[in-house]
Amino acid sequence: MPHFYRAFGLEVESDDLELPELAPLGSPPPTDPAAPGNPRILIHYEPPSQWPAVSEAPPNHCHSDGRYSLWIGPEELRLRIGEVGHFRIIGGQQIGWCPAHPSVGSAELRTYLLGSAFGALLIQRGLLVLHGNALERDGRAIVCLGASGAGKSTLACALMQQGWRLLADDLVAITPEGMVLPGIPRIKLWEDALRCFGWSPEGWIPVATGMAKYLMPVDQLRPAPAPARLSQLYLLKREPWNGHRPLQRQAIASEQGAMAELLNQLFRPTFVAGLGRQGTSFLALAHLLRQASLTTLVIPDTIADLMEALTATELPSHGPKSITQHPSESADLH
Amino acid sequence: MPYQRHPDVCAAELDGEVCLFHPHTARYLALNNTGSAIWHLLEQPMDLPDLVGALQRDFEVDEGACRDHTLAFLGEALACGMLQQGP
Repeated sequence: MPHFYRAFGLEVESDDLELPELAPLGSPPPTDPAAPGNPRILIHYEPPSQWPAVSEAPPNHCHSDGRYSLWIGPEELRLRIGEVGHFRIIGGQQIGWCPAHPSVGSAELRTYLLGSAFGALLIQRGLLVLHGNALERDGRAIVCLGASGAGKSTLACALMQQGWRLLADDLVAITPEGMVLPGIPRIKLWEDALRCFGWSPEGWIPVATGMAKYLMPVDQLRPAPAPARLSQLYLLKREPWNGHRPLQRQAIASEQGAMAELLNQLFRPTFVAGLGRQGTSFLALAHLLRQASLTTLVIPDTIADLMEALTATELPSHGPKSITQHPSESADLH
Repeated sequence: MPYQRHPDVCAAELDGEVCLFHPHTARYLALNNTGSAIWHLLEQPMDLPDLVGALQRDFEVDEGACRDHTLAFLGEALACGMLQQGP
């Protein structure tokens, strides 16, 4: 039975697998999926034995070892994650999936389906895809970037308590017009972090069996329903706390320096390169730096210190560029 | 032998200067104003004497210094593949 969802501004039809992380579309949409230009994404079961033979032309990228294998052609990406499953992503339109064994849980399969596979699909569709999370307030979006463990999810939780709504986690897709699309609204928190917010992990689903990292229950999330114009990028850097409240912000004054940092924040650079999207991603980032600047946010290296600093931190939803360079647009917000 | 831009290199203007990105190597190069001026001139292939002559018309600089700066930039840009040399 097909299930219908909406994510990244696209209709998603998943034929054999429920995707509770995505916003349901309600009744099946009447549009014809075969119509040209229809932005409906089809996700379906497809064992690798049914995959067509690859063309004789050499692939753009090819890698294989015991853990994973990756094959990228101009319009197609094939990915095998050793103990999890096989994925084939075609032309920004379709994702085929198949578990490695019948015992693979659907939660584990969805981790890669909604991560690497969906990321590849968005890159094929020509979107700029960054690795981070995005929040919205007053119709403006901020994007938080940084290495795993830099505190992106903890910061997102704290900002939601201040009235921000979650646009996307892990995959942040940005249109050529500089709009951040509502993606997959989920937050993964380590047990020590969620306890610092006064929550308890009962009723939370572990990200992987036996892991002390949990998905925040959907009813506690504040998802943002509509695309929002990007106004500010933050790069989180963890440092020993020097007692400063609120969180210290250090603007990266030069756009050239911001570009050097942002080129390291693309989601799965290997996919971007193999799909031939490096140049368009660079140009998209350059375009984005005209409307949004990049600021380093110094994150205390213990959760208790982070929580204390956050209570005194209020991040503006309007970056300096969105005010100075777009006076006509900011005026209508008053 | 004239110098020319590599056809696949992407260029964008940041901080009023040119930034280059080579999609084959993912190499990023932020140019100063000499480099930016040379990149703009190389919209058409040009050889060294023509480049130096054109730069001297735009900047107050003696020929020796202009030639040195230009050669330094051309060497770096060739080494990372942003420019190529040929007929």
